[in-house]
Amino acid sequence: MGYTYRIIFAFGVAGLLIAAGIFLHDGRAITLAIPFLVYVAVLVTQPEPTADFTGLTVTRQLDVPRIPVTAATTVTLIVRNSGRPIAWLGIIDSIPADVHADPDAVTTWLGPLPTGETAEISYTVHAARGRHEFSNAQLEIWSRAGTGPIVETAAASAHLLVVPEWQRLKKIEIRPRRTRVYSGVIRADMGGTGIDFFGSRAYVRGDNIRRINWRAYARTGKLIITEYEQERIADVNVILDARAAANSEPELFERGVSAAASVADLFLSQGNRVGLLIYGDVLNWTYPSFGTGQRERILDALAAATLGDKPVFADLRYIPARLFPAQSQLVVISPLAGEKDIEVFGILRARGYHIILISPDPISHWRTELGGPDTPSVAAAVRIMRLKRRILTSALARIGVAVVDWNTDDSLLTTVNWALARRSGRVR
Amino acid sequence: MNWVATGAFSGGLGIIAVLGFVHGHPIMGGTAVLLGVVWNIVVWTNHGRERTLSGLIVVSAVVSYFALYMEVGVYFVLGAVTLIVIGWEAGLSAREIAPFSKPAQRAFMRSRIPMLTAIAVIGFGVGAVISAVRLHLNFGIALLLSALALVLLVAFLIAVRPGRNNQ
Repeated sequence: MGYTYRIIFAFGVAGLLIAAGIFLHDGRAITLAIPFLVYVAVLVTQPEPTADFTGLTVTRQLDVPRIPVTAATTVTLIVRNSGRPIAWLGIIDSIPADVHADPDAVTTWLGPLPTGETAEISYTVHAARGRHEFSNAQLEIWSRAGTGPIVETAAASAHLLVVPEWQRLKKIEIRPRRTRVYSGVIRADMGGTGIDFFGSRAYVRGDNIRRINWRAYARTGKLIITEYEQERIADVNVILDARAAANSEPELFERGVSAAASVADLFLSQGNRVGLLIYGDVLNWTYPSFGTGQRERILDALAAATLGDKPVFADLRYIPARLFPAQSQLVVISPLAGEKDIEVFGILRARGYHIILISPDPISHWRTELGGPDTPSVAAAVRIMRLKRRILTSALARIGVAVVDWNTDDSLLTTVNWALARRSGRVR
Repeated sequence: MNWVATGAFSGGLGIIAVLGFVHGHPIMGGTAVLLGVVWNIVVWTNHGRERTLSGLIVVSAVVSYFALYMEVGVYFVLGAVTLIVIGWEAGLSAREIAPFSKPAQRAFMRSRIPMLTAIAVIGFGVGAVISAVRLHLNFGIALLLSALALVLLVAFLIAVRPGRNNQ
């Protein structure tokens, strides 16, 4: 309530008392109005604060503008007064939703601010995954006597990017049909230099004589060359299913985002060329590349990933397969939405892509969220849903998709190691 | 600020309550106690504060008038009303600075002490002098016009308040 309103209200009460005194012919009521009138008189003689915000410069700094989910950063809001002295300046910083300040954090400031001085608010925040926009701070000015305040909103924007948490996975063995020419850790199904035995053949001019198998020569009298399987790098594209229809719970999607980050980190650390497609709200494509820079780009894209429920992306049929090199490796992170998804996997397999599906299990997640005992009806529901899911995953396995059915209560590292690291042979 | 608001407003209503019970007007005393309880609930729970506080000051003014009407001691009632006004002012200010830290609130409150003291001293002093002088009033058109002139004076003073900036 501003001071003008207080004056009017107090004067109104005084007026009521005076009116009562006049109508009741009782001077005591008028006497009672005196404190209210004095209050009004004192207030009207107080100077109002001057609404001069032009001399104030508001800047915001983030100690680290890009942090993982588990980390925190310090936000500093600095207000500098290069104009007239301000008797009382109040600063109230606004924190975006999903950003949480420490419980003992002070996000306000109140005090006098002479010319040339600065006021500073500093506090530590942590936030959920995503891109968070710090926008405005509220400034309030009071006069020396405390009248006011005059309120102004000052722009003080800054962006905080919170990237998803990821796990360091161990080896995931992939064997795409086509690899790139550079050496790496992916078996290329081609003879040459390597570690694992690939085959032997007759010596031809130009072969390295150090690769001649002398024992075979002693037995047969012919020069035989031992070949090892070449190990190269490959194109790996990670597809994150961000459809709201598939991710029944936001938490399930968060697990998927973490899984995508973990998988991308693993393949990049092996030297592969990795890209990312987020399929749901929009087609968010991170062009494939190598190295730690690409890992950061993928983490940035995953940080901004949101669930979408656009009808055009209701099923996976609009995955732009032409973006992916032919016969390369795809890693799809999806809880699966239904039978229609199976058809899309079939089409991709028919085009020669090798596919690993990491599927966060919505049923176990739902069961954990539901809590409580396993009543007969709950048990029956879980059993029916599991049967439906088993049908889907079995169909995928039949068309050659390596399926990792991930109970999100378990570690991704453990699940992937168990499901894929020991996978031997080649899925064609 | 909340403590100042509570102390002043409750003190004012406490005076009226004591006067009511001492002079054999338990309804008046009880009403004052009830008002004090409601005030404290509003101040400390921050519920519907501005309107409720302003509503309570009107009711308190009416109860104070009844106290005067019952002739329970004009100076005491005048002091009580002065405290009520100060409590109301402090209660409204407390809400404005509630988002800030406690040390900052205390510093801000210290800056308000001269103004609140001026209201208390002048309000009670002028009221007491006028009560003592016992001016003769004619309750007629002249008094009504005087009140109207007072309204215009206050409106004029609001309009020409120093430091006013219409931006």
